[in-house]
Amino acid sequence: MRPHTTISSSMTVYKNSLTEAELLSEWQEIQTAQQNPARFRVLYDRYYEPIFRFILNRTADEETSADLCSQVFLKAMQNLNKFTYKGVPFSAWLYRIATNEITQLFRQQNRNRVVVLEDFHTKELVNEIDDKAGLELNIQKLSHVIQQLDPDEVTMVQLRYFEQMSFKEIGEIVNITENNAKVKMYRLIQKMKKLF
Amino acid sequence: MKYDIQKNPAPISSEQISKHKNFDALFAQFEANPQPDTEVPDNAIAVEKVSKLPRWVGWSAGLAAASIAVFLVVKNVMVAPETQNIFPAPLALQSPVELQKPFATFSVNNSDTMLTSNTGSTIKIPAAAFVDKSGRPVQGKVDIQYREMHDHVDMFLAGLPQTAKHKNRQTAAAIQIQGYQNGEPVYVGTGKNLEVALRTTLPEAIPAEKLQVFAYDAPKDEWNYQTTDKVEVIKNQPIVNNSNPNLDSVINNNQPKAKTEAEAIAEIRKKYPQLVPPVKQSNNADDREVFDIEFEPKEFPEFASYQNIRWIATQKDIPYTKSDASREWNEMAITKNGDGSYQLFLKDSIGELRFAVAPIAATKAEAEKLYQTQLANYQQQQANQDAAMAADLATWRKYQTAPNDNPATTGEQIVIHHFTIAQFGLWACTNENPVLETETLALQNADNLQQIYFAAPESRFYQSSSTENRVFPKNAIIWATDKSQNLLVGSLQNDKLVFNPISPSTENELRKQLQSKEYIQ
Repeated sequence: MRPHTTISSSMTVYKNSLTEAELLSEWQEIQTAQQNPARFRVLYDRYYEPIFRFILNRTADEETSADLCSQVFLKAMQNLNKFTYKGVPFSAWLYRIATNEITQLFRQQNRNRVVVLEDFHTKELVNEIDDKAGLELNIQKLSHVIQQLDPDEVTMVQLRYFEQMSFKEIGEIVNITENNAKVKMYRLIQKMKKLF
Repeated sequence: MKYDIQKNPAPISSEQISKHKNFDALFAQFEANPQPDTEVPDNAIAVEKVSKLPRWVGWSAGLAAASIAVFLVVKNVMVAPETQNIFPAPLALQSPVELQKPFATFSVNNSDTMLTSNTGSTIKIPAAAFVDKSGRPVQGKVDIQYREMHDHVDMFLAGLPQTAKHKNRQTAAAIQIQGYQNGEPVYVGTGKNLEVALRTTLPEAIPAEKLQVFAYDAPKDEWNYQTTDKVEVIKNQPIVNNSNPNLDSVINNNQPKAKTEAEAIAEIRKKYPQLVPPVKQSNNADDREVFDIEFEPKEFPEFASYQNIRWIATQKDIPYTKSDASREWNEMAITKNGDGSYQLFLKDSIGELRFAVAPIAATKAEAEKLYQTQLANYQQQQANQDAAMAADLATWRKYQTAPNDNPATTGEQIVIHHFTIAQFGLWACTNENPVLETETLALQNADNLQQIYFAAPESRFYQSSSTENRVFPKNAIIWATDKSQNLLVGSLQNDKLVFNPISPSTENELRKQLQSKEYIQ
C-alpha cells in the first residue's frame, strides 16, 4: 500500500530525467550548435520523435504534426542563441515552443483541442484519482472528468501522467516553478477526485 | 464538449515518424531565414512570489492544499553580471612606467576556498561563486589574479586611479582581484560574496573609524562607496615585508594571536566550520507515513547533496491519521532535536501535531548511492580542512621562533580590514576627506611633464594630477612622468620644484627613491 500522504507518482522514475552530467554534456552540444548551427543536427535527431509524438498526442493528425514539428525546430534554431543553461533538459524548451505552436494552431482553426487517451497512459492517473475502485480502469469516466477541466489543467495532466514528465520539466514548459507545478498538480488531483 | 477526446488511436511507428525527418531541409530553411519571424518563449523562469516564511517551511505535496500557496520558493534566476564588469580587460589598470605591481595567480576549484597572501591577508571564496559573461555557472578551475597596494609606491605601480577628480583620498590599502577561465573573464555570481581580510599597516595619523570601502568603476572613472571598513587592530604582530606581493598558498591564514600552542590550536579550530557527517537514510521497509516537505538546505547541511529527501515517521503509531491528509496546514516545519533526531511539526486552525521523523530517499539503492557520495565528499572536506589547519599551525610555530623580524614601522599599527566584495575589481579602504596642510610650489621646466604624482606617506595620501597643479600637501614626496614615460623625481632648488630623471630597475629601488624628501632641503 502506498502511503496516502504523498503524491503516489512521485516515486516514479520519469523517462525524461537526465543526470547533471548528462545535462552538462547536452549543454555543451547546445553551445556548439550556438556557434555552428549545422551542429544542431544532433539535437534534432535526438528530439525529433519525442516532439513529434508530443504534438501528435495533441493533434491526432500525422501531417499536421509533421508540419508543426518542423516549425518547432526551425524556431528553436532561430532562437538558439537565447537559450541559457538552467539545469533542465533542452527538450523542456522544445516542448514549450511546441505547446505554443499547438495552442496557436487550434486558435487559428477555431477547433476543439484534441486529447488522446491511451489505456496504458491513463492507468496511473485513474489509480491516482480513484484509489477505492479496485483500480479498475475507467477511461469513459476519465473522459467525462477531463471535459470539465480548464485547458491549463489538461496540459498539466498530459505532461505529468501521459508524458511522464518530472515537475521540474513541467515547470519549465508551462513557465512556473517546480514547486508551483507540484502544488497545482496536487490541487488538480483533488479536484478530479471530486469530479470522478 | 470542450475537447475532442480520442481513445486509443492507431499507433504510429518510429519508422513512420522518421519519414518526416529532414534536417537538411530544415537547415536550408534556417539559412534562408536565420532570424525568427516571431519570438519564442525563452527558457528563463519567471520569478514568483517570495515566501514570508522561512523557505524550509516550504511545500508539502501530501499535506496541504490551498493554504500553502504562499510558501512558494523563488527559483534561482541567473542574471548576467552587468554591474560587475568594472574590469573590462585583464590588467585594465596599467602602471605609468615600465615597472609593474605583479599579480599573484591562483588556480581554484569552484568550491569553498581560502586564499592567503604572504602579508597574512585572506580572501574566502564560497562554493559555486563564479559565473561567465552570460551569468551561467562556471565549471572547473578558475584562475584568480590578486594584488595588494599598501602604500603610494604600490598604488603608483599598480596605476591606481587617484586623479584630481577623486579629490583628497587617504587610502589605507587597496586590492585588485579578477578571475579568468581559459583567458576569458569570469564574474562573481549574484548573491555570492567574497570575504576579504586585508592585513596591512595603518599609520596612527589615519582615523580607522573614518575608513570606508570603495569599489572602482572603470568606465565612469568613479570610486563608489560600498560598505564600512571594519578595522581590526592587531598589535605586536609581525607582518611580512610587502615588497614581495606574491601570495603564499591557498591554505594559510592570518596568524592566530595565541601565546601557547594549545591556544593556537583552539583558535585555529574556531576559524573552520564544524563539518557534519552525512546521515545514512533508512528506507521505507514497512508502510509508515512518508511526507514530502521542502526544507532550507542551509539549515540541514547534512542533506546538501541529496535531491529527493522525504521524511518517514519513525513509529507506526503517530497522531497523524488518514483524515489529516485533507487538512489545510498553515505551518509545516522540520526541526532538529538536540540528539540529532528530527521532528515534524504541523499546525492549522484546528490544532497542531508533532512527531518524530527520519530522512528517507526514494529507493533503497538511491539512498545508499547518495549516502556514499556524501560520505566521500565529507571525508574529502575533512582532509582538506585538516591540511589547512596543520598549515596554520605550522605558520604559527614559524612566527614563534622568529617573532617580530619584520615589525611595523614606529607610529603604525598592524590591522586587518574586514569587508565583503560582491564583484571582482579594484577595492580600496579609504578616508574620503582627510584634513591636510598644503603648500604652493612653483615648478621649473614643467612643459615636458606628462603627469605629476605626490604622496604624504605618513597619512597614506596619494594623488596624481595634471602639470597645472601647484598645490601639494606639506612635506609631500613629488614625482612625475614625462611625455616619453620617463620617471622623474622632484626636488626643491631655489624655492622651485625641479624634476630630475631616475631609472629604478626594481620596485625596491623605486621605493627607496620615493621615500626620500631631498627636495625639502
